[in-house]
Amino acid sequence: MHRTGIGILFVLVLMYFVSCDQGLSPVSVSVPPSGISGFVYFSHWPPADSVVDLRLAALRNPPSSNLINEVLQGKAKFTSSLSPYGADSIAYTLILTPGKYVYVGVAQQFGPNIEQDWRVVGVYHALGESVNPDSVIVPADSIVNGINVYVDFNNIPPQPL
Amino acid sequence: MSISITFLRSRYNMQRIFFTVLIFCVMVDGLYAQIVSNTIKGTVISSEDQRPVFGANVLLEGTVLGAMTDSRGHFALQNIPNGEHDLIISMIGFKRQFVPDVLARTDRENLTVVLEPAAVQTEPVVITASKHEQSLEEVPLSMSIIDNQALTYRNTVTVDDALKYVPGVSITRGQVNIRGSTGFSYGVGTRVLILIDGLPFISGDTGEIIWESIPPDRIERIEIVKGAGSALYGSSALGGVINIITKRPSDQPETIVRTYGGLYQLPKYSSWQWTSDARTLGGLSFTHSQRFDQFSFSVGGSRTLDDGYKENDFWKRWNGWARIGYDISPFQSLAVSFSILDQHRGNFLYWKDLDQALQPQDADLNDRIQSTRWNLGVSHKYFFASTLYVTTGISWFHSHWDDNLPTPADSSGSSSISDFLVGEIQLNMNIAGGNFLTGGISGTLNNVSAETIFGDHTGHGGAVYLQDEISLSEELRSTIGGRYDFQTISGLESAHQFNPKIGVTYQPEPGISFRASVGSGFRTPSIAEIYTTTEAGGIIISPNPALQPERSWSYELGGSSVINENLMLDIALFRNELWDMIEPAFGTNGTVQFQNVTRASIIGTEISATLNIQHQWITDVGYTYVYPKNVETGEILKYRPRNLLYLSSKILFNPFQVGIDYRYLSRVEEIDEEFVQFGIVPDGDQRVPISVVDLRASVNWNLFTTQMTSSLQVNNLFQYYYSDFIGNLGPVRNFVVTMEAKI
Repeated sequence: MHRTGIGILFVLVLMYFVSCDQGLSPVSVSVPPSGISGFVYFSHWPPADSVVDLRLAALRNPPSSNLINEVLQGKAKFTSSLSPYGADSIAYTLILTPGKYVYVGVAQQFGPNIEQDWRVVGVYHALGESVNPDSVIVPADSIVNGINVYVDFNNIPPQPL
Repeated sequence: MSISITFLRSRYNMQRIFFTVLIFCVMVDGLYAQIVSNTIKGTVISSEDQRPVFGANVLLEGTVLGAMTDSRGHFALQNIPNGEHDLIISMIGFKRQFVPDVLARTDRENLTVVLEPAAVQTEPVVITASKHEQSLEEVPLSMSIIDNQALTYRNTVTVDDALKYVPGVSITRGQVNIRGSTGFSYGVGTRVLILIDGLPFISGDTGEIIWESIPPDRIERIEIVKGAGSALYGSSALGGVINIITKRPSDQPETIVRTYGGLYQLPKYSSWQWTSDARTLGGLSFTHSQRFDQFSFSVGGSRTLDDGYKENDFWKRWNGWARIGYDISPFQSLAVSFSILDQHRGNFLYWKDLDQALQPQDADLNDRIQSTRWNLGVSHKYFFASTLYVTTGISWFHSHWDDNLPTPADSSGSSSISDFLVGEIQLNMNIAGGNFLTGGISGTLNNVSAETIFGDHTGHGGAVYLQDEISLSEELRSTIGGRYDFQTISGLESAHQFNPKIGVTYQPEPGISFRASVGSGFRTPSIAEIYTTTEAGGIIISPNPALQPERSWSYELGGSSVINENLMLDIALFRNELWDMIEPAFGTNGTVQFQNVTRASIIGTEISATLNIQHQWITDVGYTYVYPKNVETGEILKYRPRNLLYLSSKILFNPFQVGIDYRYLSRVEEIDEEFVQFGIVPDGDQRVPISVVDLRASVNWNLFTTQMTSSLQVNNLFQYYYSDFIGNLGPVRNFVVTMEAKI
């Protein structure tokens, strides 16, 4: 009887494992995410009090003064706040709708004014490119890896605006 | 009007034939009695506890005479020829017992037969494979049996629920698929013939199985024949036969009252939680049976309700049934049975989309279907001699349904009234020299009145069949037979078909059996497949009067072996070749028409095993691999899973019983993609394998003199979500408590 009990417990556990992936789920849950991921590498950190916030952003259109509208329309997305002060690098993943993103960069809030005190401190360049920002194409159902951004606080890229 | 007259005239003719046969039987009654009047009486008991065994089959070898033990274990074989005879006694759960040289006597003398419990059962008696009682080991086809205990154990509300646990069988919205024979044809036509006590039970208009018309409380057991059965049963037995054997009253009065109640759990995803109201299910049923000497009766009724876990997927049913039996003489018996269903239900066609998987599309939200169906059956059995009996049966299935689904022809909905009559005279004869002959004639009449959806049509058919089982030696037995059918539907050309079959069984030693069979099958299209004109769920369905019958050849090789007293194995290889398969075909404009479109080939294998450890832990497992291919395109046939795995395990520790059932069906590879392409069912192509676990526990106890059984079931224990059809999510986790009282 003891062996019988162990046997049925084994079968039950086995059944659980074969049934535990839960099967179907709503589309919003089940569709694999799309977006970009990579590392942000830092060098020459400025004083800590000048790094109020630090975010990576991906934009469908070139940066403009209508950035807020772009965000509202889902054409521009930011990571949550990166808090790596003093770190050499930080990994990130940004979920995006599929499509072409012409500008991927890291923005630093350097002062208390959340609307104005921002500057771009790093831009994604493809291999061999060091000046112009490169676009990224995000396909459906997958994360594009290796979208790394180098931030040298002593040598920031040209500001888009 | 002319249709009605034809219908009534044909009905009158069938009644006249039936009563002529009946009168003939009464006239000759007594002739056989003057020749023989010996009796063998006895009692069958269990060696384990010396208690009587109820329901054991007692057969007089070399004859067609047999009897079943009553609740006190008593049996009486009457009209036995003079001399000594051999008896064979069999019962599920016990070893078959052979009792040689029993002397038939005119005076009363009781024989006591002691049956030993068997760990695994190899020799249950079945009736469907050859239209008479025979040991399962003598059947050249694969068969499965579901007994009444299994129906109770799983709280079966409709019979198709119980079939979900049979190896090689899957159910798609009530349509039965045995070993890949059937995909999904929108509820019309069936490639598996359903019988009640041997007579066809399908609706006259749609040709489908109406599961809810068969109350499980009526059922003694269900026999499932896998493979073409048209050589004995004719049209629709293309992929197999399911025979429902109803209960017979015992000599002790018996009343059973059963009630159940349950609850569907909310799905875990908030977007699927379409209501905060509890979704419940429940029912109450009773049956009473009694015998007074030559007269017996049983009567029952049930009320069942189900809110449904999907919106607008509720149903409410009344079922009633009765059976009256009368032993006219020791040589003949008459039985009349009647059942009726009244059902009101919603209609969930497809989900809105996967995000709202439990809600129907807005246009279907108020769909309702009301149906009333009844079935009248009459059967008469007459023993002309100890080696010959004739069975006459008539079955009348009336179906009437109305819906409020608007169609182009009638915005208020559709309606259909159909009457399907079948009559059959069958002869069984055990001929000296080891031949058992089964033959018969049958006729059908079908009348459909459904002006807006099918039209008004009458069909009729006739058949003659003959089969001989030949014992070539003690180990080797062959079966050869065939059936000729003709069927016609008003205004269309008649269909004719001869279906032969041949089978062999070889039993080199007790417990080991090999089998091989070849047989053909056919199915004439239902009136609905030919004439449906409607629009449903965004699909326009158009008629096709040029539709031809579909045909098949079925081959099987198999063997079963008792490895030791705890383990039995059965292996089968099968192949089905099909021509002119009828499938719904989408036109370029989105219309659907049933067409003879497919030349198909289905090959596969099935392995099943029973493991019984000390009668305390019993496990059944069955695995079926099916490769169903469209020969012309090379594609897999639609709606057929390739892999089916079933596992049922239970522990018995008196008075408790705990068990689990597991079903795995691999992901269906091909579906009607047009549903998605035409935007009819958003996310309709979303599907996964089916992998469901059910858990059950029960306890037997006594309340004064009443035998009680209480049980708890958790269905879909691990809350696995799957679609059982395009745009339809399978049942979510639900809890059911059942209480049964046997008085």
